[in-house]
Amino acid sequence: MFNYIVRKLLGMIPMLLVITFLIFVGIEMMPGDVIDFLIPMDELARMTPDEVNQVREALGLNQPMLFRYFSWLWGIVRGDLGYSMQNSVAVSKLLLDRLPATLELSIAALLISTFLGSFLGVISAIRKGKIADNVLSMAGMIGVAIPQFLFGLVCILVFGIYLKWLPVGGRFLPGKEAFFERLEYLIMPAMVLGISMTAGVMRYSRASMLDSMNRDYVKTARSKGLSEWKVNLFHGLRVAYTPVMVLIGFRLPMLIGGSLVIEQIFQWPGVGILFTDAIRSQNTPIIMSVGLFMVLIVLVSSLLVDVLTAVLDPRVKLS
Amino acid sequence: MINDIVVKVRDLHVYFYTNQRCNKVLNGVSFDIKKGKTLCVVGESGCGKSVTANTILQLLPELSRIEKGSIEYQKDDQLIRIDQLQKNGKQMRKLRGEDIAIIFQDPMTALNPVYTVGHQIREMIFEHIPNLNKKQAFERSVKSLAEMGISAPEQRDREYPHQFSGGMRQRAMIAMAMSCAPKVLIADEPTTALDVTISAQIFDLINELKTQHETAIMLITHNMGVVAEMADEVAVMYMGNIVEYGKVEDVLTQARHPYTRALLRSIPVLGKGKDQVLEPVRGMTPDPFNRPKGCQFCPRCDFATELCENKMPPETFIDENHYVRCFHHEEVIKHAK
Ligand SMILES: Nc1ncnc2c1ncn2[C@@H]1O[C@H](COP(=O)(O)OP(=O)(O)O)[C@@H](O)[C@H]1O
Ligand SMILES: [Mg+2]
Repeated sequence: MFNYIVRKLLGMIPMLLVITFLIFVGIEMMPGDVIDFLIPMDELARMTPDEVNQVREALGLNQPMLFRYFSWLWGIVRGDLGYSMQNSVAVSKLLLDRLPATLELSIAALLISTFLGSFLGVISAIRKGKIADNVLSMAGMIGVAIPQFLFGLVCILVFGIYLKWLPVGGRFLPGKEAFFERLEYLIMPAMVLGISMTAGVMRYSRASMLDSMNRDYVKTARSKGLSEWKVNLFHGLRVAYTPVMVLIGFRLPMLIGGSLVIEQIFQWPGVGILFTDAIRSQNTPIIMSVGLFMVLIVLVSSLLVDVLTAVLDPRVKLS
Repeated sequence: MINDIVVKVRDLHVYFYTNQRCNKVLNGVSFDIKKGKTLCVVGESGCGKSVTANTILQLLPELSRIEKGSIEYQKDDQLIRIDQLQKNGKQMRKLRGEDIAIIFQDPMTALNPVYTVGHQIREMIFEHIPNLNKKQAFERSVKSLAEMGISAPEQRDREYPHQFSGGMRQRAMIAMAMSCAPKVLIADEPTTALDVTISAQIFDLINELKTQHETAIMLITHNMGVVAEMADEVAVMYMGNIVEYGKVEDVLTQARHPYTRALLRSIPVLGKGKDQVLEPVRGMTPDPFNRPKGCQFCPRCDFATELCENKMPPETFIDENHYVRCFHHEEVIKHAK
């Protein structure tokens, strides 16, 4: 197991190199010149080509692309993420400011969708064809169909503006930053994001549970005299949740990318806005860092899924 | 004599209501399972053997139910009407495993892949003997594995089903079924998924249970050869009815139902030599949703008359222990001679 993990982690290095290089090339190929985003229009109009060139030189933009990629890479190896091109703030500082907010929101949403989704899915499977199942299936369909932003806006209208139960946006009031003081800010975006991710988990766990409950070992369990809840839990669910865990593992990358829309609607100061702004203005160091982080999460989640499957299912051997 | 009957099934009707249609799977099935005896239930696939077995333990799927008839279980001095118990209720669950155990056709799928074999046996033991401690339960599961001829049982106990071969898994299933010393063992085609030599070992094992523990055994098979080998009594099933029922020697030598005869002609008989003619049973089994009105075997039968087309023959007793559902059984046996 340990060997396997080490081997996999080492195997990630070439992949990270290739993918980050591709992202770098991608940024390079985006239309427009970085200078246009860095210097305000009117100022740019007044500058001579020489002056513009000086700015380029200072930012290192005149170096060949390969050189710039490897100097970025060398920075990463030393733990230096570089500086935002726009205002020369360290990218590490920007991320440290933003990342906790995003992680807080998406972990909360992931937990909500995981527990709610698998719980409802299992209930739905056990009560197949009964009222509970039909209601849940219907709700699941609606859940998949409604766009996140619409759901978010409706919730803001109802719970924020009309009922005034929860704040309409932001993450905390200045000076009141303890977890419990900002909890009320987290509830609505986390619920909206969580519930919108629930339907998928629910449908998947329902299908998985139904499949498991039709297997012979469930009948064997029943023939031993076990009570229905033991049969469902220890035999039906125990086998059914391995694939559900795999699904959730593959959803981990959503921790970074999945909350974009919600962050915008609720003015949640996360990575989402930073990242979209960075892409719009071709702010290479920020794009590269966030990109690297996303790729890392994807690779680590798939490793996590492998390990988890091996732990949950004795038939699976890591090799 | 009467006390030897452990399970008594009378006029059992079971219907399935799938896809808005009614499938009358069992239409009046009666038989006894006796202490220290093997009842073989034989018939082509789809005739309702598994449903009969599962009904005794109320393991029927949803959308099916016992419409009519009775299942009685003789528990010491007490007579329990199984058909009247709540499906997964406490009383029914207490009977499962402790009094009546069942093993299924495919040992590959009947064991849960994520638990060790020992754990699955102990699950049963703890359910019925809850005051055992871990060590006692472990000893007991190891002992039941050892009794079923599994070598290195302590180590095997800790292994997962996928580490067992097919025959070993079926032994483990039987070990599990026998771990609480049930009075009745129902085996639903226990060797269909296994090869011939392994099958023979499993049958030896079942015979041992019968003689040593006086377990009442209901053995389901579609193979007349197995019947000849294993049975004390035989029930021949066709499309939801027992068409002939009796002691094995009577049914095999004095078969009075055309279907029993057809089945017997379809298997090789030991000692008759190489050039015996084997005939598969003529025709096809009818669609279960579109059953014949009278005798179910009528469309495939040489003796069929108008009476057979319109009326289901009743159970006609030849003697105390032998009955047949055929209007023309006299003719059948005369014809055979
Ligand atoms: N779970 C089920 N759902 C619907 N119909 C079933 C089910 N199990 C059995 N049946 C029906 O019951 C009849 C008898 O099946 P079964 O008892 O399994 O036959 P066999 O004699 O081969 O064991 C068949 O017509 C089959 O279609
Ligand atoms: Mg069957």
